[in-house]
Amino acid sequence: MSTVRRTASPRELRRLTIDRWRAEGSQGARITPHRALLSHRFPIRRMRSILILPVAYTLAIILFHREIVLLWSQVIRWSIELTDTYAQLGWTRTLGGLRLPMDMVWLDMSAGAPSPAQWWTCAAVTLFLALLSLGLPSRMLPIAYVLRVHAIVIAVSLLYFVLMPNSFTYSLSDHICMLLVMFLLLALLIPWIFALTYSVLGVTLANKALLTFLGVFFLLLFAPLHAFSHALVLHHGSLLYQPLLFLLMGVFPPLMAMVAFYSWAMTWPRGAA
Amino acid sequence: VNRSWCAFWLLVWLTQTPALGQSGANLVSAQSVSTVQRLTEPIPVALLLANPAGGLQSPLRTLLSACEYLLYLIVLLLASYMLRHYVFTLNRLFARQRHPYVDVDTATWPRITVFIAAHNEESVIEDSIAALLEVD
Repeated sequence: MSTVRRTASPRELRRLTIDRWRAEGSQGARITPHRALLSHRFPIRRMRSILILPVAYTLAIILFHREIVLLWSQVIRWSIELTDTYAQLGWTRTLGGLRLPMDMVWLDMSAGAPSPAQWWTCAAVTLFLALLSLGLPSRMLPIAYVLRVHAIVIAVSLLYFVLMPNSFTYSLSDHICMLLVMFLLLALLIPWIFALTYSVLGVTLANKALLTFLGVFFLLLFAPLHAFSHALVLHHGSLLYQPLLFLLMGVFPPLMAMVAFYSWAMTWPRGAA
Repeated sequence: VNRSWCAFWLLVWLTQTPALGQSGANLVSAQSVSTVQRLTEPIPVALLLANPAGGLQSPLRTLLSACEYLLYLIVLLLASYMLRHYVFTLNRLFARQRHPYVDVDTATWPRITVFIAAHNEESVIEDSIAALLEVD
């Protein structure tokens, strides 16, 4: 500092003084930068810990996807026995969202068009939900919107089964197969999503690894149970509920779970990253 | 946002090809699931790229193919939008943040500069500026 003072020009000295005054607050207290001007450091070596986890999980899921699907089939078979449902379980080769052939569980359970009793019951419940959404107080508006979306989807399905009951192109087996394919693709995506949204922050490698493990482990365990719960709804309630299950109950619940895991991980102690 | 989301998933639902379950007639029983069977052969990727709706020819299939390409376009647009905002987020998190104003001592000012300190003076500021402009 003394070197600076000896060699500084009057203009530089003025600048140094202004800089000192700028950070000096009332009664000599130091003024910290406003939070709008704060930013995090991003050391380049952090790239290693960002990339290593998703790459490892991607390779593992691709290499062991048949074993994962086999595990799913075992869980579904256990669910079939537990619920004492008549069903057949097999194995098929299907196409994922990326048009890549993959082996997948094939569950065959009976589910047809709704009977008149099922249709009228569903219509009455849908009408009740729609009316209920109109009568809710304004502070419950989000719930009202959710109810309306559900009612609209079900109403379209009800209308479809009135007009063209025999031309519904989806079966229970298609639905379960599609759902499981989506879960497998989601399991591939989740480590990358966490890498890009959580691992970029200054958290420890243990935190990153734990969050990624929790997300993928939850998805792999949740997928067959979730799919079988859909199968039970379609089996007992008819294909009338397929659009609702696909549009609103398919990947939404696990995605909400991922958001919950992320929120929880943000509360973990950061440690020395 | 809700409407866009519902429309997006409705499009996904419409364009999912039921060709996924073509092997439904060749089921194995639950008892024999431990001996895993491959029931169908994969469809060549080139054929799928040429005809995403699964190789079936009909006006409905053509419409569904068009919907499928529209879906890909929507996904591309959403992905681009997400990428744009991800870059904004990274910039806010890690890039150097600048003052939204220029420091008095660092800016390059004209030889004669008049600073007007004003706060809640919308009713009189116009006259003040007019008076300053008339200064010779």
